[in-house]
Amino acid sequence: MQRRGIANVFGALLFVIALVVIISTVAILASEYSNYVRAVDYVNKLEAAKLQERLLLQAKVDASGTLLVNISNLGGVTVQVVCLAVHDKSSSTLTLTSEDLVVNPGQTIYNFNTGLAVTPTTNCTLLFITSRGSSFPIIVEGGRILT
Amino acid sequence: MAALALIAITLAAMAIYVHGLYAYYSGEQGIISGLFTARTQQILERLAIIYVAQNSSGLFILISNYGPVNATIARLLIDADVYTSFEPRTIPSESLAVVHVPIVLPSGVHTLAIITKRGNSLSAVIRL
Repeated sequence: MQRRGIANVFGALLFVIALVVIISTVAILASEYSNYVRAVDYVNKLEAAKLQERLLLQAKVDASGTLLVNISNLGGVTVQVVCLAVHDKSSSTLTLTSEDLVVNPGQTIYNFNTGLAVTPTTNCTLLFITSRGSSFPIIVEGGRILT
Repeated sequence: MAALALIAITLAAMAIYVHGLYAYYSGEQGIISGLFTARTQQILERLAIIYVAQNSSGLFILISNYGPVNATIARLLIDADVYTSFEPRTIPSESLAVVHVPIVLPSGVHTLAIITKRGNSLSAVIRL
């Protein structure tokens, strides 16, 4: 009778341990699955916003020969230009300059100074790179601007 | 029989539990959390090949990591061949990096592909 009582207590103890462990395992699974769903949602929104990034670049050269750019945001999301990359094809150099240029939808930033001197022999590609990994080019070939 | 089954279930569940605790405190991923975490990190990894330039010292690949996690480029393929001398390179999240590859390609159209440590890949067709 006494042994049977001990077996009952032991069985109940095992049952409680199994229950606690299984419930906590399921809780961890649920939490990780929730993180996974949040990550998928985040990435979907990020990629959707990236697709909506649209900048119109209108370049001109001022009297001193410096390249100025009007940057218009024609897309539906705010665009942050984080870097200006210049590939000088004459000297074969790639230069990156950090920028922090925020352009809201419908906004235009006038006469952004690229600091690039344009001459009739200038051959380079400028890239406005956004925080979402998009890039918008301006090509200068023989001093002529192609956007 | 029922008692044996109960003991077996308890031991199996405890083994998973103890493994998870051990992995957590040793800074690793347990089986349960690792199942989803690895996939979650892979999804969050976002890379883009922005531009490729070349000079006499080799290729310069401008890569943007616009995702929220760091990404490590493990392999580089040039025209479908693995570039064996490539050293893995980690690009911090939300940053740009120029990856220099000391190889000069002939003029024309080439295909570049990068494979990350988490198994993502992206490719770009370039004209030099």
